[in-house]
Amino acid sequence: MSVMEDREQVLLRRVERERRARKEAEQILNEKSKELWNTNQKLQQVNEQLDQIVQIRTSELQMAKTKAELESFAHKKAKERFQLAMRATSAGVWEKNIVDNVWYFSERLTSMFGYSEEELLFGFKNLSFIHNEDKKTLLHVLKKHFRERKAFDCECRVQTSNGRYKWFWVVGQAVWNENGDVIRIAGSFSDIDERVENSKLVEKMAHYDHLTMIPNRVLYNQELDVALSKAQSNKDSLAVILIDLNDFKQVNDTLGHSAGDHLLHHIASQFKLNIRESDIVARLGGDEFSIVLTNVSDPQFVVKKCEQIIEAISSPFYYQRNLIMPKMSMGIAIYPEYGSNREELMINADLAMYKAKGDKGNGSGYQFCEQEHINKNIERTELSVELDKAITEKGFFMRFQPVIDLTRGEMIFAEALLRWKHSKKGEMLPEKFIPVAEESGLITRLGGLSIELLVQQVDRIMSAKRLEKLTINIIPSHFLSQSFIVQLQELINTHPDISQYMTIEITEAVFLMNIEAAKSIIFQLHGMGFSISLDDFGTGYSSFKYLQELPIEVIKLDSSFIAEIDIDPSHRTIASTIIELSHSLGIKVIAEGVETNSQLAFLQDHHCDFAQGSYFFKPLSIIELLHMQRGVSLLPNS
Amino acid sequence: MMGMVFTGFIELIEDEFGYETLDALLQSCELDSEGIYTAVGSYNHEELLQLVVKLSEMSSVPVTELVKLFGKKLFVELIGGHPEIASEMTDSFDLLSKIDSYIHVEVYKLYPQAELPKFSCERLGDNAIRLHYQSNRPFASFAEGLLDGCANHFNEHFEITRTPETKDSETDVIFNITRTPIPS
Repeated sequence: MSVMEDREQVLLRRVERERRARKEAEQILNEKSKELWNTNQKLQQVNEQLDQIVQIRTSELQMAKTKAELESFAHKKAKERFQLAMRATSAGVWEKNIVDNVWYFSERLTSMFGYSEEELLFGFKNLSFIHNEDKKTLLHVLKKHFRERKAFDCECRVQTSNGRYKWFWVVGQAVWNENGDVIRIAGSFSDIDERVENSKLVEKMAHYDHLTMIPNRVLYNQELDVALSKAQSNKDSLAVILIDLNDFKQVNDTLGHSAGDHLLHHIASQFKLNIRESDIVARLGGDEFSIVLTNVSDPQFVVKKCEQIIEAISSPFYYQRNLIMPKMSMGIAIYPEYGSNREELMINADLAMYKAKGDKGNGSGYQFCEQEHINKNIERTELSVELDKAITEKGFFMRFQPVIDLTRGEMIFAEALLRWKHSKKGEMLPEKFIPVAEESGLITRLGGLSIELLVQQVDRIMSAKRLEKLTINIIPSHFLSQSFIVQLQELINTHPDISQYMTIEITEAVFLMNIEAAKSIIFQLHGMGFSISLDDFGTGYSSFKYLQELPIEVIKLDSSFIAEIDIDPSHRTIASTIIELSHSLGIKVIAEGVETNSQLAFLQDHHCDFAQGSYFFKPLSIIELLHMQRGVSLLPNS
Repeated sequence: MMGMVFTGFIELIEDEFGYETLDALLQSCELDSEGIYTAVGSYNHEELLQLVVKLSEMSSVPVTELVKLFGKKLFVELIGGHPEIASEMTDSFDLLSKIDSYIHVEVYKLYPQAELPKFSCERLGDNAIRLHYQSNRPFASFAEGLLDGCANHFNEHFEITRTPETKDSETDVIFNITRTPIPS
């Protein structure tokens, strides 16, 4: 093949290649064009979808915008309300944004504390305005809050700008983010100063005696309990001293209650001056005080203290120019020997005081509790239980002491004497159980029972025509009780004639206890037809004034006079004078405890009306009485 | 492989060796495409290797030389076709450092199926750079030709050494390039 032909072939191939390349390119481009068209179509669809989405989104945005506007409005309103509340509230509000380190203090807070914002900022950062004693509490509360995340509150004192500490109620709450970091904390201070001060005052009023301003029984009990637990842990001793003023009632009665109040105040002041800081003094009520000496190493210390206090109290005290010589009885119980707790110590100190009161004579005195007192008390307590039971079961009976008419030589009446038929101790005399009955509050029941027992015998004795009357002894506290006169009135209803066969015998003690009530009752009894006899005349006040004023028919000349008649001429004089004076008032006289012939002779010589005693008869049983001859032939002058 | 590489190569052969040589080359190689290439098409890279090897035989020019020459020429085509990219580049190293991060990103936008090599750059100094070429295809020399073209474009001269370990590799090569400006 020639070169030309070759070149032609090459060119032909070139043309063919380029033609095919062009076609292929066209085809590719065509396909690309189709792809592009399809893509464009899809894009359009996507576009339309996007338009729709945009439209929906736009509408949603519009709604969100409207909602946001409403919320903003509500927020604005809430903010306004909050600001109004801030202005209206009595609490001062504070807040710290910890993230931005920004503080907020409400106007109320700044005005309450009286500090500038800078001063408040300093105070909040250092707690410098919180009272030192309250810082620990506040920090404790805050720590607890950060641990447990429950709103905190506590009461603490804040020093305001004028330097005065006031009580505030602090409330607060922190806010945490999702990482557990505190991002803000807010709270309020409410002024509770007045309330706290009032409650302190109430507290004081509840725990202090208003008159003497020393602790009352409530605070005394608390303080004594604390002192006891301290003594227990330190193995110390302490002395509980119960103090009762002697004859305080007399001060009130004679000089008036104001004098009594001044005396109590004076006594409390003296006590305070003569005890140590660690000791306790309290007014337990009325004229009853207590002092507790703590840390007692030696009983001798207690003795010295008691003597020191007695000396201080014994100095003359004047009330409106009236001299008062205060006297008191002190009972001491040492812990732990005489009581391991408050109740035991109080009981034992009371026993000792009871003893001191009995031993006091005319002055003040103190008495340590001893085992003997406790034993006696136990006996008394047991006896009181038995007595209570015996009253219920009516385990008593009467004996009768005949009274002899010295003119007629005849037994004309008898004194009824109560006896307790004790299951173990046998026949018990009143002096053994009457004090117990009085202390245990059984006297009214016992007295009622004795009247009941007597009435049972009256009919029997009267119908046997043995005697004209029976005399019954009435204990002063029973006599002055309401139930006494009520019982007698009821008795009159059932036994209309009973009063003419009964003489009510009382002692002068009723006048000392309540003179007005005593007089009133005597007149009532007289009105009911009962005779009244005054026992133990000559031993107490022996006031003829009563005899003059009251419808008393008989007095009893005390046996102590009769016993002395043989020995002491002055007793003879007194006895004869009493008889004479009584007769001049129209009152008859019974001589008690006549034992000898010479005593009887003296009484007859001085025209004493009646006599009783072992010279004639010992107390008789009802059977003996009913069988006894009325006539008495042993009269020396008969 | 992108059609424009093939059309560029065909044009180079025609320019350098004449269409007769090109014709003979296409006739002698039994190519699936029969040498019908368009810039918009995509062809098996094996055909390019076939053509280069055959051309080397026919022209007695080593394969690497041919490929480098082709690369250098193609750079001019590529940069000329995308003046907006060229204008953003301050110098040759700036362009090299942006191959992966910018240029190839743009290429992928136009040719999502394109399989492009990876160029990692490390500046060693003002005038020294280390370029790590990694590809599934053995065209490191082609890349070296492109580097030459780049230097020319920015009126610079590149001193290129391949690291000893990768001397004979055509798929994983580190080029250490030192440039010197060509005085105008």
